Amino acid sequence: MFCAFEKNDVEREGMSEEEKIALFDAYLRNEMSESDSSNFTALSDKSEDFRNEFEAYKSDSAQIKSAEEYGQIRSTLKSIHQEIHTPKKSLFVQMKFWIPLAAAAVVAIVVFALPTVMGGNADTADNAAEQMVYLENDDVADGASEEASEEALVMTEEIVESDSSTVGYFYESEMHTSELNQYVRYSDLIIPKGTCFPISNQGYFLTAKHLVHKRRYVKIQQKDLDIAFNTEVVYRDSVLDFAILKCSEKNAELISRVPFKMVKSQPSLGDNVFSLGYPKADIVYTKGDVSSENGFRSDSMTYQISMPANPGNSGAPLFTKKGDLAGIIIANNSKKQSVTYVIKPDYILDRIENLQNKFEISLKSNYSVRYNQTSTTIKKYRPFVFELH
Amino acid sequence: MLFRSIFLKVTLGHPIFIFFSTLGDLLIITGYIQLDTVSADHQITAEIIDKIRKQDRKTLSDIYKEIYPMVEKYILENSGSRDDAQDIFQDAFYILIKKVEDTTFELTSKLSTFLFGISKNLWLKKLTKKQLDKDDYSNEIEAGLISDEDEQNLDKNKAMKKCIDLLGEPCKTIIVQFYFLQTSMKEIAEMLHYTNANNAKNQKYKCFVRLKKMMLKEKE
Repeated sequence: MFCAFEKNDVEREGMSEEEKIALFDAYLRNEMSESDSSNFTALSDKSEDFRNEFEAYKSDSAQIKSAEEYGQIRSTLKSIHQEIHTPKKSLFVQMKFWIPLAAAAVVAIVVFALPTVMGGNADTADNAAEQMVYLENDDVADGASEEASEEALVMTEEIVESDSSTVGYFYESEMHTSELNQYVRYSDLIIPKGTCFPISNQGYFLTAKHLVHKRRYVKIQQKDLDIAFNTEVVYRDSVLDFAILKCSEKNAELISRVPFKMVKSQPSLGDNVFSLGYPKADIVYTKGDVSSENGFRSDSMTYQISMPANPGNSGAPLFTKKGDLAGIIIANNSKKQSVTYVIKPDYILDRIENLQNKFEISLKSNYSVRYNQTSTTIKKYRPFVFELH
Repeated sequence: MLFRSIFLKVTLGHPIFIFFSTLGDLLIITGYIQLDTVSADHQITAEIIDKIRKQDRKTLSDIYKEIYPMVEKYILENSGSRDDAQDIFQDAFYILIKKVEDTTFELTSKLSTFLFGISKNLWLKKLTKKQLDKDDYSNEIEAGLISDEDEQNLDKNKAMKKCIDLLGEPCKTIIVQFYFLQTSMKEIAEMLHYTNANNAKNQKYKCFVRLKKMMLKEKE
C-alpha cells in the first residue's frame, strides 16, 4: 500500500518528501493556483515516480478518511447499543426532569428575547460565539494591566520566544540575580494577577504563559510564609500555555520540600479534583471534577473540568483528590458556566523532561504523603501556592 | 360499544392485548409494540434504504433493536461471547451502510436476512481464521453476500483505525481533523495553539509518517 521513496529520486527532483506531501495536499484540496496546478500535471505526466508517489499518497489519505469514517459509524452503533441495553427511566422521572427545564427555557426566552423585541441594545457579547477566557486579573493597580487586557485576545497568534532579552519592560536587562532579592511585599488590598506554584526545590515555579506575557521578571508572594520576591521568566512554551519562573537560590531555600508529585497521565472522567488559587487577595479553595478529556473545541493539549474558576485562578495548580498535581488551570469558557480548561499533566512532564539539559529541574526530591482528609491536604499545600503580581 | 378506535399513533413499547375465543374459552394475548416506523421484515422500501444512507439515528436504532438479538443468539451458540456479537454485528452494519451508499445497490432479500447473513459470514470467517474451532466452516459461508473486497476494506479500516487511536495526542487530532474533517491547516494551527500553519503542517507530516510506520508494522 505504501511505497517507499528512493533517495536519488528525491535528490534529483530537489524536493524532500515533506515538501512533496505539502504539494500533494494543495493539489488534492484545490488550493493551487492555475499555473501551479498545470505545472503539477506536467510533472506527473513526465515523471512516473512522481505520479506513483502521488497516487500512493492519494490512496493513503483516502484510506485514513475511510478508516475514521468506520470509527465514527462504529461509535454511533456502540452508543445505540448502550442506549438499547440500559434500562429506561420511567415516564414519571422524565416528566419531573422536564418541568424545571421547560420553566427555565421560558425564563430564558423572556430574558433574552425581550430586549431584542423591544429594540433595546442587546449586548453584543451575548451573540458572539463562545470563547476561551484566560483567568487573569486585569484590574491590578500595576503598570502591567494595560498590556494584560489586550493580551487575552492576541494570545494564540502572538509568537513569544523564550529569548526575551530584547524586551526589557519593567527592569533593566542587565539586572543581576542578587537584585532579585529585593523585598516587594504587596499590601493585602492589591488583587494578584494570577497564581503560581513551585515545581521543584531548585527554585523553579510553574505558571500560565499569558500571565507573564512580555515580562522578564515577575513578583511573587506567599503570605502564609510571609515572603515575597522577584523571579525571572526562564522559559515560555511555544505551544502550551505555560511558563517556568526561577527565583534565586537564597529564596529557594525559604521554601520547604514540595509535597506533591505530578501524575503521569491525566485523571479520568469523573475524577474529583480541587485547586488553590488567588482570585482575590486571599487563598481560595475550589473543587470540581473532570468533565471532558479534551479542552476548548477538543483541544487535545488541555482537558476540561467542571469547576467554577475566576480571574486570578490562571496558573493555579490542580490537584487530584489524592493530592497529586494534575495540571495547570489556564482558562474558562466565556459562554458556559463552570467550564474550566486545564493543561494536561503528561504534556507538562514531557516538556520538563525535554528541558532537562537546560534547567536542573529535578522532580525526584518531591515527596508525596497521602492525607485522608482534604482539609489536611490543603493545610499542607497552601504555603506552596503563590500569588503572582 | 365498549371500545373505540384510536386516532393517536401508538408508540414504541405501548402494551396491547387481543381477545379471541377458541373452543368456547376466551383467551387474552398480551404484548407490546416492537417497532412503529420500521418493520424491517415487511416494509423494505426505498425510504428505509435512504434513511440508512443518511445514517438516520432512529432508523439505525430500530434496525439494531430488531436484528441484533438474532445475531447475538447465533454467536453465543457458536462459541462466541457478547462482545464478539457486538463487534461482529456492528461491522456487518457498517458494511450495510457502505453498501447502500452506492445508489445502484439493490437489496435482494429481507433486510434482516441480509444483515444476519453478513454477520454470520464474518463470524464464521473469524472462527476459521482464529482456529477457535477445529471444524471447517467454509461450506457454511454463504457466497455472494459480501465480496472479498468489502472484507479487505473492513480489515484495512479496522487496522488503520486502531493505529489512529494509538497515535496519541496531538497527532490523532491533527490526522482526524485534516484527513477526515478536511479542516484547513490554519484552523488546525489555531485549534492546537500552534504559532502558525507551517508549524502545524510540519507536525502533521511527522504524524503522517508515524502512522505509516505503524501501519507497516501492523501488517507484519
